[in-house]
Amino acid sequence: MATVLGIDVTGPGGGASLLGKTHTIPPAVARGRDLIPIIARLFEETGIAGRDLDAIACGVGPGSFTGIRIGIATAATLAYTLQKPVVAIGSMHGIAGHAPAAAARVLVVLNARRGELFVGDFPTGAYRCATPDDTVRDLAPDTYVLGEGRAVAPALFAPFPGREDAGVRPDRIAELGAFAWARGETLAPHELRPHYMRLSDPEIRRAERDGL
Amino acid sequence: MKILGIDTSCDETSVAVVDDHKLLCNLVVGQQSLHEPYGGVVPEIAARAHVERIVPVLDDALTQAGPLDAVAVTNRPGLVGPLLVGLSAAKAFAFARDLPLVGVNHIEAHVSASYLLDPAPEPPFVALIASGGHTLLFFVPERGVYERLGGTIDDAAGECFDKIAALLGLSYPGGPSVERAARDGDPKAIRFPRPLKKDDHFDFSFSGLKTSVLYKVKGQDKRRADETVGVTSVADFAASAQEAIVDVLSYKAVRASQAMGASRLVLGGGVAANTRLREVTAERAAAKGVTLFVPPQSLCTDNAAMIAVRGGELLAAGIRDGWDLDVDRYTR
Repeated sequence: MATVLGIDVTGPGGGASLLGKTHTIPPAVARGRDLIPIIARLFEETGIAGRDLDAIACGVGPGSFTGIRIGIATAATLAYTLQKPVVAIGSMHGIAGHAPAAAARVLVVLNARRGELFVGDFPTGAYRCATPDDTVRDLAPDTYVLGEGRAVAPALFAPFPGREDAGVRPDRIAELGAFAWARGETLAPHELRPHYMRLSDPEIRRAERDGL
Repeated sequence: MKILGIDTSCDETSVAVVDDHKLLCNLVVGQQSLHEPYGGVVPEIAARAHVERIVPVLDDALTQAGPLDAVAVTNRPGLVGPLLVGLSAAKAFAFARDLPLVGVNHIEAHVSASYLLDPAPEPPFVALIASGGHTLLFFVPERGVYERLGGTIDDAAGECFDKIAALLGLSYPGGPSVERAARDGDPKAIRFPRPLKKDDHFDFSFSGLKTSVLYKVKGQDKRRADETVGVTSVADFAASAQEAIVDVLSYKAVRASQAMGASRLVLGGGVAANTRLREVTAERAAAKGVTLFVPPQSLCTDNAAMIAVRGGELLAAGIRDGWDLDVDRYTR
């Protein structure tokens, strides 16, 4: 198995993971403050140095826009400096790791605001933006629905099994990163890009105003 | 000591390397075209641009500068989203290279930019820092010590330029566009107010000036309607408004120097790139026996070279930050 540092600070549960060890940053703590300290702790505890890494995997969103950027700026600069490749992993792929292995179909739902959800559909791994109504339409009753997006429409999601408190999983990002690295799906550090799935609010308002 | 500086506090992605006050490189990638449609900097758009640019700009700077001894990064004040990109990159770089890291106050760094001049100003001196976000007067009794004499109580001078530009239909950012338009105008065409100019303190106020320009532009100034007769050109408006801002800034800066017994005055910040401000302040300073120090325009507008210089001062004073360094958007 490759030695991959996993980073995802796009939402609750965020932090970093290396060789099965994970440190998370409590939601009340500034992610920009604590990310490098927990990476330093992981290196110390595992005895791994930056030069020993095969790659750095980073959760690129969707999620907190600021969190996405803290993760990417940190992962890309670390990788650039250590001359290592990076792997981009969708953050909802990390959250999907909370589902029981027996679940045939899993939806990860995050609050996208503006009355919509970011929806990650597994096992296909496709991401989309949809209203809660559209999300549950024709959905098989045994679909496992994970993520804080359940709270956007509690009544709609109540019939479906799942959990609301499923956060991002840096360990899963590291694991998926190792698989991707083995498949050669790596990027140069400067190619690591956020997956916001949304324009910024001012851009949305401008587009609406201009009728675009 | 060769120091890497990083600044992403607003809408410029900047990385620089300074070696004991010798500037090795100062790369600044601006975003004006991204923010122009909005008439001002949009923090989320700025942060999105920073995160795409920070590694390539860092790479360019390192290619030019070679091995380094320390990393300095702006961590206050500024827009929190943009600041976090530079801070995250700086921490990752310093951590991976095992270099000392120090967080820098962006406004203090605007003063430190003057130390790249040859000759550099020797303290004690007074510094006027005027930009889109700040308008402050400092007394610097010795290197690295900043005593605040006064500041704006409402809009910053650069913000006032932006708002006046918007009122006159000029492009964003307002400083350069008002200055360009003013070249063909008469600075005495309209007598705009000079708020707090003669007051016995060193605070500034620019919101009233903006309102005054608004009323004149819209022809609502009934009391002094005669003054606006025959004054229709944007150039006259721009020249007169610029003159009011320049008059207050230069007058108070020179007066502060005299009040503090300082024979040297330093200008910094994006507004210090304004040619008229440089001219008028130079004349007024010379008349009072005060020597003026103004860095070149590239070191007045936001840049990481000044961050590296300020970082060098802090490191020399034994100040160093841990890996838990955070942003502080509210520092003044």
